[in-house]
Amino acid sequence: MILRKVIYTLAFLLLLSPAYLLFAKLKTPEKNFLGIWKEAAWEYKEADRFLLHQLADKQNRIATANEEGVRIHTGETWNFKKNGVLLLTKHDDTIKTMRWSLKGRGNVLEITDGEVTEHYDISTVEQDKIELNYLSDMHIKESAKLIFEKT
Amino acid sequence: MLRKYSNSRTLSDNIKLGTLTAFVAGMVNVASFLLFFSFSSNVTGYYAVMMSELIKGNLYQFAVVAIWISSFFFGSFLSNFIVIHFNKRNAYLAHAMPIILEMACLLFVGVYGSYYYKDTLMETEVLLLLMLFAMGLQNGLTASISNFAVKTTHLTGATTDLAILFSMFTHKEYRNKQHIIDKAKLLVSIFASYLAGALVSSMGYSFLKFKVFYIVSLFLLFVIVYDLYKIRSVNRLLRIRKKGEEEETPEKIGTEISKNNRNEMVLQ
Repeated sequence: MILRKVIYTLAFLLLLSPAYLLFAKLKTPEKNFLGIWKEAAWEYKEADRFLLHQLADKQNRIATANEEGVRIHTGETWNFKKNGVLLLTKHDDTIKTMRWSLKGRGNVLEITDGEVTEHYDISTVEQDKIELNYLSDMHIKESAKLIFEKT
Repeated sequence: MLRKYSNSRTLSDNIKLGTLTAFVAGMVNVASFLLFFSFSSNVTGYYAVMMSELIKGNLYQFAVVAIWISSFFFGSFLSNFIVIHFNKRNAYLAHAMPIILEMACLLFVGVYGSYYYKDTLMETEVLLLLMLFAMGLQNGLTASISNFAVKTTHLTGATTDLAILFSMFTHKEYRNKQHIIDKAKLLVSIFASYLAGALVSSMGYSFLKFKVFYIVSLFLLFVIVYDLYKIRSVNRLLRIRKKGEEEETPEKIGTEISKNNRNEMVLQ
């Protein structure tokens, strides 16, 4: 009888432990993004470069029709702000104000300007480095990687 | 569909329950993926994800996935708890209660998502938790009341069962066995319904967004009301029959009394 009670208590505590970890000890992934990040590189296989640019060109043209799509970011600085605002700047000029949010279990980054919505799988988040894999319906994940460095 | 329990259920009961709940599961699973990039009933996959997050040292993600799995577990636990503890008092209510709770959870997701959702990660995690809890409730209920014949939120086991059944159809010893044919009919209807739900959800998502959950709730309401209507109809019939019997009884007594009176008069 006592043994059964101990087993039930342990099982209950084991089930509750992830909740304790989450609320008491761990930092939400959103906090890891806050701050200014500079694009360091786009890495993609040569075969996918053409594919990605074609997709970007096509979808940027139809962005006004409220289609979801992709934009090629080059040498921009991304400022992730607390209230979900993302400022893209280039040579100290703000070129776009967007919204950012994390999806799933904090493993997908969504950025949108209201017309084009982009999704990135977060493969690395470190103190001074973020690696994002572009997600599309065309399964070029792992082939188009956007790398940021903390400024 | 909900009234009967375990072996007293017919194939028709299981097919009705299976198709309606599989349609709901298909809709919810696709909606959760399109809205949040996470499935709401893919528990097997989450076990793998949980361990891979642990290996990568992503303790936050590990904890989130562990909580999602736990919420599916608690949903199934609660479903069966309600069924086994309240089945004898009121079978219909015991079987309908998990569906009512599921509907409440999904309706909350729909309303919150439509009017209050601010796109934060915490909200996403909590809404997914509610969806997994709802799917756990549904799977726990259907499995519990159908003696584990109906499971509708994920199709891994069903795919295995269907493959086994189809391989049995290749052997003439099993081909004409009615219980095997019945099982195949049930599984095929669950598959078809799940896919239909997934299709409707993915087609409707672009303009409905969170309002997809209103349609899901309507289906669940139908599951609840269908049996309530049947119970009311049966009760009405029983009442009419009882009333008829009561009306018949005084007449019978009356005729017997008059017969006796007549006999007495003859004797006099």
